[in-house]
Amino acid sequence: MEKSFLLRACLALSLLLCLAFPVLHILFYVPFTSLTWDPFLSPVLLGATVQALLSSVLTLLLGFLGALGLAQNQVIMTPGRFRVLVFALILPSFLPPLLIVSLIVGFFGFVPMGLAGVIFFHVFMNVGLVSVLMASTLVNDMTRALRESQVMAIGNWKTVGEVILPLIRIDLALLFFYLFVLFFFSFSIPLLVGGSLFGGIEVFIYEKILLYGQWSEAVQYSIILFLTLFFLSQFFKSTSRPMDMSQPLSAMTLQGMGRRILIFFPLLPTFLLLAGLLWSAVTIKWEFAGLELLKSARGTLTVGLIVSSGVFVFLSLLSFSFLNQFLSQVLLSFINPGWVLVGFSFLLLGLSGKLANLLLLGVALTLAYVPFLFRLSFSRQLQQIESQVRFAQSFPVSWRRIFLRVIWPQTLAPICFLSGLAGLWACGDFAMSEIILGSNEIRTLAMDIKVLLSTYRLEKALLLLYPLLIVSFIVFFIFQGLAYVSCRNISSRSWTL
Amino acid sequence: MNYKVFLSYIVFIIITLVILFLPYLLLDPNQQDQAKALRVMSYSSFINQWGAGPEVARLFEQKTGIPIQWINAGNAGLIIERLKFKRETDLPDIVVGLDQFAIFEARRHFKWLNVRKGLSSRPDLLPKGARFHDFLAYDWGALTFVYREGELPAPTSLDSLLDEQFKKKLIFQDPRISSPGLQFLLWVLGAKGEEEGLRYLEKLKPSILSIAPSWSASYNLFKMERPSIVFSYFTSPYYHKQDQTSYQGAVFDIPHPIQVEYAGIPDFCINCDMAKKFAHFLLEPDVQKIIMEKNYMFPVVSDAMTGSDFVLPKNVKYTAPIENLSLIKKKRELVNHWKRVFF
Repeated sequence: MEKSFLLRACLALSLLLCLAFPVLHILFYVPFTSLTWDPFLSPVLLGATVQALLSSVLTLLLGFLGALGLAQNQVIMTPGRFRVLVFALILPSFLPPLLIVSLIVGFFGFVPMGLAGVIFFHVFMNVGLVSVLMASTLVNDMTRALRESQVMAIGNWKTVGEVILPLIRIDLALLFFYLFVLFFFSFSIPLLVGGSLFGGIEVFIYEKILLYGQWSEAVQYSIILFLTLFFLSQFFKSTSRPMDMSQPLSAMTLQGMGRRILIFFPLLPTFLLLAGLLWSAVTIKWEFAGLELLKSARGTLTVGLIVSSGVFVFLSLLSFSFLNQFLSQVLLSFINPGWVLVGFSFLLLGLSGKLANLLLLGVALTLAYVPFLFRLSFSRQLQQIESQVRFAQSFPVSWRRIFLRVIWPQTLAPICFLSGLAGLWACGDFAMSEIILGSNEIRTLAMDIKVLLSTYRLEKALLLLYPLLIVSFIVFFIFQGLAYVSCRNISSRSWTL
Repeated sequence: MNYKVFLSYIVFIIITLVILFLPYLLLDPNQQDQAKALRVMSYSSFINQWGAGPEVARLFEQKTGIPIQWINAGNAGLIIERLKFKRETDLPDIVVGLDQFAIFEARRHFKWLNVRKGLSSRPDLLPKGARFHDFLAYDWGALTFVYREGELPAPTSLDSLLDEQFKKKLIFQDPRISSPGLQFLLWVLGAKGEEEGLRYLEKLKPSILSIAPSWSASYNLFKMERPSIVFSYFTSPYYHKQDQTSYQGAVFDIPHPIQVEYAGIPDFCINCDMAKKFAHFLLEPDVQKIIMEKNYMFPVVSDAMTGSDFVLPKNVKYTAPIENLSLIKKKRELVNHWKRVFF
């Protein structure tokens, strides 16, 4: 046991070091100078805090209502249809923000601006994803409580208020923390529609590099923000809740809560987005881009699959190491030092060749996404099985056996879902890709879209949105398929997310 | 859990990845071919299939037999930052796409060869004060507010932008992270003086619809959001030639700022003579025409405009980069002033 503990501790530390690699590596190249405190950090922080707070609360509220609707829909829909519904719900969370804003503006002819605009688009892009994650908690972990409420003939809404909410308050707090961090460091949306006050932290750091070439300042501010976030994360310590091992939610439970009305909240952004896509399909001039399009689609598929695979391996290793409370807290509060810093850090490794660059990009995006995915739901997944693991450890069995029989079967489905999600995000990435790929021979659809947008050609960029959606869809479902084929025999875990 | 099925599926994913990797492995040019090529660093929209780069490279190879190997610097603003780290695989023979702000930074960090020596084409269209011995201008554009005819009246002065009719209609770029945004700030401060200029920006706030992160974001927002006007180029309307709506660049009563793109040869170049050939090639009329039509910018050689739709705007005065030198040097201070107004 001692040996396996040491092995797991070393593995956990190595994984954390991997995550910290971009910032540690760039420290070798950046000469440290004394930091002159920028007085504009305070208003930037204030603006970012206000918008992140309001966006998170509203996303959580609407996401929770959506989750109630989604949970009811899951038990009456076929698994295939339900997966399509899940994809539709998370669709707005991975498309490039500029395209989302353009589609909405194009369809409605106006766009909300200022604080309202920032909150609108943040909620718009994330409410579906939050609904999916919260529905997963409801279906998998609340069943017994809900059945007991049903037996005692407690009304549905009373059950939500008096049973569900108190039980999932920690999940809500962690999800709130994830959303807060996501919105706090949000880049494009605050800049596009928020005006300067809500223009965000990323710009504050990016400005130091782009306008003044002050890498040292940028790195130092990144570290300060990381430490601030680390202390803030102490308020969001999660505690273990035993997993509900009864059968998943049946069709009877939570019935009659207005599933159609409730699912409306997370589905509304997808409907609006599809309306925008339809509008663009009608208004743009279709043309076949031919071989070049196929090259970019191949690049996108490759990057998406590398990142999905990378995240799959990373999260699997994390679940094997089964982090202790302190390391888990470190990972929960970990933030990357901005896209440009991470990108340049990898660039400085000096590798050349197409394959090396592709792999480098895959690793960079994997390391960039893992902390987000950990905050999003994986930390909670590990917490939930902690008591089972402790119980299994009281028997004289090897850690390998505990991992293969207890941990892995229960974490595989969430790992596959999060890997697919990372693949989706990677398909839509152009910022890191442009920095790391460094040649014109490897291209992705997202990079092409960015170029088209910066050369007036919005219509052509919208045209490329369709193959991007198809490729992203393929990447996402390859990893959903992995969860499906591996877990279909596990009766207690029919929920494949 | 069915581990057999799981492992089979993992093998399927690995095979898919290997198949996807193969073309990149097989088509990777060998080291010898790369050594013969001229290494040109530029920004992504120049070297992408929709940019001027691929066609220029093809013509150059046809004419000289020298192949081009592009180094994609991504964002134009990050070219110098990329060079600073001097990564071996990134070191170019020539850099294409530096603007007038970047060349001041470029000079601070590197030595640049005299690129004009032996130049046969005369950049007769380039406004005065935009020529330098160490950097060769290959295209330029004058900045202004672009509007749609019949939607909003044309602004004629900075003060006219304060009118009620432009309330929540203006889209321009954030000077912290966008070169045209910085141009707008310098334009206002140059025309009105620093103190008065900042007071003007304060008064301009009600007219602003969006301060976008980049030129592309601002222009795409402008295309969608109606009515609105955007800070862009006099050449932007040429993209809309086929549209039913007429796009126009507003002529102001003060000199307009210009954005100039330069090519430069760093002293650490390996194929320096080839690099100089390429720089001079950029000024040949055929090549200038390609750049003009792909980049939607004015050429520096007048012959390139012959027979094209591109015409220099009438009655427009320009502010040359050299005139803004004092302002460019204290951009940090000015951007901080800007932040005081808008934060």
